[in-house]
Amino acid sequence: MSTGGQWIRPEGTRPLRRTPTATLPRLEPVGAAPDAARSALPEPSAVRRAGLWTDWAPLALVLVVQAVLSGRLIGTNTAFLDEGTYLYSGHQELAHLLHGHPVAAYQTFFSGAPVIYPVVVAVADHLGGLTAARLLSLAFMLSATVALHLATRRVRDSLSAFFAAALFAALGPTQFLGGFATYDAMALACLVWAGYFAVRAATGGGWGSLLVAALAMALADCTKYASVLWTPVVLGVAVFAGTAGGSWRWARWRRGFGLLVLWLIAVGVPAALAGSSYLKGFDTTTLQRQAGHDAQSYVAESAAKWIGALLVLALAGVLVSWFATRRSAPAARSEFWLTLVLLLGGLLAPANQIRIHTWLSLQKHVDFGAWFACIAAGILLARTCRLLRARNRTRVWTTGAIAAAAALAAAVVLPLGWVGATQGTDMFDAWPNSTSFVAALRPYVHRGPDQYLVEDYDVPAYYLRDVSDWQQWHDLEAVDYTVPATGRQLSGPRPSRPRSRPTRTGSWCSTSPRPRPPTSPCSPR
Amino acid sequence: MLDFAETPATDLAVQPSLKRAGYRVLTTVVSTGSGTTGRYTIYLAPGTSS
Repeated sequence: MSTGGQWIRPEGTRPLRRTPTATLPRLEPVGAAPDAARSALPEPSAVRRAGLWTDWAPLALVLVVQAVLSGRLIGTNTAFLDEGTYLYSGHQELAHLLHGHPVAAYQTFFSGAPVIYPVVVAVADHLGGLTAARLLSLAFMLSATVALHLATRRVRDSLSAFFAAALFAALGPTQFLGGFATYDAMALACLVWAGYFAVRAATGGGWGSLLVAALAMALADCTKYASVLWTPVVLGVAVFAGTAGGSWRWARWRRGFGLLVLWLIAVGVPAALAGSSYLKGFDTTTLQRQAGHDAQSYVAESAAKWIGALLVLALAGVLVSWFATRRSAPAARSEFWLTLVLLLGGLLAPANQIRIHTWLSLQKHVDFGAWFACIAAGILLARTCRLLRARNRTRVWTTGAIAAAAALAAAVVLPLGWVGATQGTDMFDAWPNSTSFVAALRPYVHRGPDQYLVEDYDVPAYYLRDVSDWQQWHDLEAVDYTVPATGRQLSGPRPSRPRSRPTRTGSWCSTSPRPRPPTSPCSPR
Repeated sequence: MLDFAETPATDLAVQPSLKRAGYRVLTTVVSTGSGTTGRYTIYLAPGTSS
């Protein structure tokens, strides 16, 4: 805004003073229009301490709802193939680490380091069985919601943080991952905490926060290799979050480059120490991941079903941010670039899986990007809430603000949560209960020389690990056989697999040939 | 003893081969308790007994 050729700093871009009553919410400028003043971000020095009623209570409410929505799923089905795989392999890895017992070469075909999540979840399983393993995932997902709230509050304000957290908890994939004992929840949690520390680094946290962000990001990448897809998003967050100068100021980009270098070191050192078998597994499962046969329209439709509404909100947030900041100071315009990066983060998983024609694991992967998109969507809903609040010269959490927030939550978040709850239930019902199968098989399984050929054996092997050794189980993906007469070792993958089959929900699961599953041919992977 | 448990699609695909190879069906289990129905067939390898 210029007056007589003189640049006038928008009201909202002025550094906010830290008051003695630091827990009070910041005062809002007059008027409801989303003008440049409203688009401004808090200066690093203005990041205030979280308040009980402005931050922690609303966040606690969201966490309780999320815990209920995910927790109700935990006991509704037996272990899925992937859960059995990670639990079963984790017990082997643990026995290898503690007692030197032999272990299969999981690193050659797992899409994450077998010494990280499988070991962690095996400890949980040892303590409380499958329920404890799934509760561990719930803890990871709840921590992701906390990280989302903290990050959004630093980027914008408490109201935006509440909406962002509520949106994330409402999503079906979030509810599903919160009850599903695979490495996804842990990898997602590590990734999003990296995102939070990237925001923190940009809002007064300094290089210490950058270091933690790099370590968390590297841990996410090692836990699940596909997490590396969102590394550019975290780097973008580190660049564009905060208000320290214009979007193209060197200080911002130095922060991004600094994080990149730290991350390269943090992920490069373990990669170098891990050895060629790990690199082979990374290459096979992630870099050279085989393309599927699913129609691109089907992949896009599925992604739209799970996070489409969120992406529309995030897109609207980007457009509103652009309109709101197009004539404001360069520092304020960084919000537009930040929301754009966050939206792109939400689009990454669908775009990548549309590219390789595969629906597999999409319902889990979309949640990684959804975390980022929720920040942009939360900011939009908070803006809208202020519009609803009209010309009210009061603090954020007045009666009027609460009524406006409640109305918005009822209009947007609750329907999303309702749909998400149905989706979470459907996702957890996508595989058959194996109780009767395991019970029928148990009398025939004994530790010893007998060999068992079972398609996707990990589930019975997990449930029957007390009466068998892992060397006794074989599947149809690859066969090792020693010819008794000659002693010749024969091995290799099976030549073909059935094309596909429908699940109860009517979706089709690709079962194209692949090395040996860290993941299943059907549904969640 | 070589057992073989299957889900329907692959079961139908490999069943003829198994029968030709002398495998015999020991039992078939239909799963219940969730929204998806599963059917598992346990086979006995030739020359083995339950």
